[in-house]
Amino acid sequence: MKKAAYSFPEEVLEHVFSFIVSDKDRSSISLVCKSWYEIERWCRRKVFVGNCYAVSPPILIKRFPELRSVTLKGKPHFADFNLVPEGWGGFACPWIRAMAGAYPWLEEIRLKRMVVSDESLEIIAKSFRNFKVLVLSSCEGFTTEGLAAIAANCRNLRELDLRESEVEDLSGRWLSDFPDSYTSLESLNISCLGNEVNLLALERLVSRCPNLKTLRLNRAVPLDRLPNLLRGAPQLAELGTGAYTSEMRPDVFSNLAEAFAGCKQLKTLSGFWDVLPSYLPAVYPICSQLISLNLSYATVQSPDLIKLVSRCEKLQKLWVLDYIEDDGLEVLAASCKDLRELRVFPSDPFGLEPNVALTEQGLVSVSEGCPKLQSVLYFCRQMSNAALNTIARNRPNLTRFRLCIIEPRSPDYLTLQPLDDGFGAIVEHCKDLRRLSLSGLLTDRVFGYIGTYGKKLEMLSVAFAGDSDLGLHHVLSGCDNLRKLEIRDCPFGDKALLANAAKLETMRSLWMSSCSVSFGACKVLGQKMPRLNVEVMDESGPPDSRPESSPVEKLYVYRTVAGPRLDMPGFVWTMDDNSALRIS
Amino acid sequence: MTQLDRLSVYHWLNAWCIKPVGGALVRQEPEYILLALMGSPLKKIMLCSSEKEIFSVEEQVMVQHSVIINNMIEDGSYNHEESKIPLDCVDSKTLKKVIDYCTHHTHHHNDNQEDLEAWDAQFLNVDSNGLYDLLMAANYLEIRNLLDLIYGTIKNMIKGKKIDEIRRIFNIKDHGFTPEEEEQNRKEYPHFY
Repeated sequence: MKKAAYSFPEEVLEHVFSFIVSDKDRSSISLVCKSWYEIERWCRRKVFVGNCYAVSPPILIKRFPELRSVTLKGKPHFADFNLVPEGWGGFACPWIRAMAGAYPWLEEIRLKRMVVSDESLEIIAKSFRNFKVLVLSSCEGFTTEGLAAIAANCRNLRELDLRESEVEDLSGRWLSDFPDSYTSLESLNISCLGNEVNLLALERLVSRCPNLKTLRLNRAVPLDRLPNLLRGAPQLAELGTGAYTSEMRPDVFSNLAEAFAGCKQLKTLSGFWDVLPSYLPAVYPICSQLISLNLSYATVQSPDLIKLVSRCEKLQKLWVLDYIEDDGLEVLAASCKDLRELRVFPSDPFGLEPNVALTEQGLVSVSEGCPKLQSVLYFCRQMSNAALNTIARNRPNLTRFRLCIIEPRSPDYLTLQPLDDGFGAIVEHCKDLRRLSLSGLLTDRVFGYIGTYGKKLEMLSVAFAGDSDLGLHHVLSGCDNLRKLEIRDCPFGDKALLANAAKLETMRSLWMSSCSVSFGACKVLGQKMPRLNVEVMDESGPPDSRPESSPVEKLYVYRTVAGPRLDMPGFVWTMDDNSALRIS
Repeated sequence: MTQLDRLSVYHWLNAWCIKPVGGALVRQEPEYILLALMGSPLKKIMLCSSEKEIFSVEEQVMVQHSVIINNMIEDGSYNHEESKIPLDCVDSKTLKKVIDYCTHHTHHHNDNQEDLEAWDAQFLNVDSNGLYDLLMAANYLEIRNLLDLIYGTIKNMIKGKKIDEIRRIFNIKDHGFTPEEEEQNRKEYPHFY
């Protein structure tokens, strides 16, 4: 039998491709050759769109006709700090309408920083017969009426996660809209809801769903109802408590402790709003099995935090307020050798004086004691180059390092020098660093280090730093893997931006606000780079009412195959070939 | 089959009390196994490659691994005295390798995971033409674990590799994109090439 030059048949490739799920690998496959591109696009089931304006619904649907899972992100990250004005965009509706028509078998929708209306939720509820997962992360624009539609219609729903969304809470009744026959819930996160939900409906829902693994309650679920809920779901792996009462009641305490002890699978705890220190021991029976603890709403002091944390020897992730102080972090370093992620949030970010004994020393202790530490978010009021150097040498395995020294432009408190060398040590030693946030007094030198050493860096956040365009130039020309760059209040201007215009096409997005980029430069960039959307935001009026050289308030540049967007509010202008016509 | 081989297979079957049924391995009572073994000496079957070469192999070995062969034996369409199973789409070189795989995995079932994996890696150290032939044979004979192994290997030939490398490994000489498309791809995804 004569054999032709071999090539794997389509079914074989399709089967192999089904094991390859990472977005990067799927992109690779589609670039190898045209026939692989075709096979791949038909068998792609899951897509992640990091910027909803980088592509349009028709383009997505045309290329991937058989999706089951779509993730979309809308507003830029700095929206979390109120830098993106209301009405900017990120509307989910056009996407949901289009997907309702094209993907009747869609199972999962995950949206982040998007505007979602009740109408969109109703469309989801009625259009996808096998709908399983809805995650709305930091979204807004919908009410509990929309949730009622989901509850009433999505028979196969497994996951409803509203993390950090802003929901207009009209009534807690919506939970009762889950029919009595509905038992497939696996994950429910309603922690962002302001008002009370129907507690009886909640209890019945929880106890009739045997696969419920994640339950994150909102503040309004009172503590004395928690034991009952726990007893109805002893298989829970992740729990977010409601608020704690304002007084200690021994009967509630013992009931709670017993209920917690019965949750043998519980590994993740969060919630703890207004928790009284005397209630914390109720969770002691399960501390030794915890891998993740979010105490960022627990306003308890260091000694109580220490007693809790020292019992959690398997802890991998800790989010906590700076009440933990240096002492607490030292205990953490000694007790939790498996720690991978630490986030320390400020209890009083706007106070002028430090209210807690938390300094750079706490982070140094943890970097010394926790060999698996990879991800850090740390708010503090003082830092030194020496400390950063020590941290870098202790933990070269860091992949995410976000340091927020509360007062902008704070120097090394020991030497009064800029913190360039300290951050330089971080990028130099942590060769796998993917995400970095800078703070403190920084000159162009730090950007030189970042450009030289930050070869794996994907996301960089900069505020109140640098001296000149050289800083921006170092980053754009040196960081080969940069995807997202967000900058505020830095003296970066036209030269570096225009010199590195081509780089912007290899990145997801660039945000610059309160910098020195002129309107004229934005126009040039927009005209030169047709595959970029160059959006200028200015709430004080059209930019062409001022001289070309005057700086724009906010600039958002992103690559796109969908052309300029058509849903911009009055304070956003796109710079492109037609911009001259459009603005006048 | 030597006395030692026979004993090792018996021991293996007894220890696990499993019998292949339609390609799956199902628990059975030890007595039944003993009876079955005592009733039928370790039989051989004949497989015939596309080049008309005959390979004699233990029935148990092939029945445990190949759903197709297991079905043939079970439904009685294979006559031990006269028949040989013709495999017209599998050449001698590939058939020998398939038999090697099945035989090793039957006799070394109790080996530890690391050793088995090392043997598998060595076994699949062939060029992509050889891999293709093995895949086609394993697919035809419905040998689940060999198929999974090969798919896993093909997956690793793709995962994390640069485009140029993948094209070389899979012998893809003409990528089929227009020059403009290829240029655009290289521009948008410089790190992939």
